[in-house]
Amino acid sequence: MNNTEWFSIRTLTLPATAVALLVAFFIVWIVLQVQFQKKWAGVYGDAVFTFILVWKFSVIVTDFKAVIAQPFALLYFNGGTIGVFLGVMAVSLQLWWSRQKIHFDETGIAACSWAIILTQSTYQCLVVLLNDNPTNSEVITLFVLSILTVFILWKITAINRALFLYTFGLIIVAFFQPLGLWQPAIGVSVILFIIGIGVQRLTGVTKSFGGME
Amino acid sequence: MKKNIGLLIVVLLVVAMIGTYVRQQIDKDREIETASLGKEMDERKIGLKNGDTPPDFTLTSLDGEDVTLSELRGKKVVLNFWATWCPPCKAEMPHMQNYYEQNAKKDNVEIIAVNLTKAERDVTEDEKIDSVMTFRESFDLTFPILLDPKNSAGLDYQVITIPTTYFIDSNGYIQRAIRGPMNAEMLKSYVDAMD
Repeated sequence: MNNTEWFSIRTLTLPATAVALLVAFFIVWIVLQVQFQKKWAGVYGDAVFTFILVWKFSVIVTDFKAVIAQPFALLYFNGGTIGVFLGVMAVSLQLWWSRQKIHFDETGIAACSWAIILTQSTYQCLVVLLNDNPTNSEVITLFVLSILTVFILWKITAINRALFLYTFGLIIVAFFQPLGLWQPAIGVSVILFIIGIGVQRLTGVTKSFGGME
Repeated sequence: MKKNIGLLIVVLLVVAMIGTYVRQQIDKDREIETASLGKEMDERKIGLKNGDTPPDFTLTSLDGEDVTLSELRGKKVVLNFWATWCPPCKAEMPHMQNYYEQNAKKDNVEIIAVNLTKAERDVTEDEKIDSVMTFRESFDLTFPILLDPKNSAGLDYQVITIPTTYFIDSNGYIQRAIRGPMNAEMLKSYVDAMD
């Protein structure tokens, strides 16, 4: 989806996509809080925090020269698209390093797949609502992703199948979006899919029960 | 007892989002209807809001050329207000230069950087212009830099915080005003979003 809107808070201007992502993080955090034990919302919160920090400060990597020349560039800019990928990598490393402390169990796996699917869907739908893109791409994104999400969260208990179905669905939807397949959201989605499968392998749990106890 | 409040929230969320979207579309249709009733035939007014015609000005560049904003119609214009002492302006200048070198021709864009010369912190006019010259050299800037010694454009455009940047489309209408520094990526996406 193309970003066509920006939000200004005093001297800070954020693209609608960034606003959509921040709001999505918050909504998903609340849903996890309600659906699962508080612990999993906490793990999600930590991951989000890491992501935002790395994304913001990765401008050091993406534009090293500018930061050295003007250290305050660090304050004003972020890592852009590369920063998003670095953020996702950092999150997966963090999950890997603290895997023993977090101790993913059945509920944890379910929370993980909920987090992965819901963050992407909420983000995509908010991007549709906040921006102005071709109507057919908007309608397809909104309807296909929301129906797919509700269906998966409600009916599919095998995590790998749930994540595969979702990522596959998102790729199909991307075909109808203005930016097509080669957009960061798809790359991130594939990485998240791998993380999800990785977390599942880690524990050997194959089925989640949507947090139902 | 199944605990599935989370799913319920998700379903409510979906309903709310689809509802919002449908309402947005209905509102948009209505707007198009009223617009087609002949309203859009009116001359656009001069102002600073999105869709307005920006106040025109003629200012002299550092190289001594007069530049008139309205004469740039046909090109997209990035109208930037800045001063040499302003840290965020310094932060965005290299990005603007990069963008200018790589995309300006291709995207049919002109960058006009209006220096708020009156707000420069030197005492005499000449010293002020010297500061701007030094600044331009230190950043190797190649886009036109206009001097605003009487702060006339600064006042017309109600520049309170710097940098402030207006994006003007090729038809000469304001598409957006951005307060705060931009990097090359942001600049490109703002330009791409306008006609």
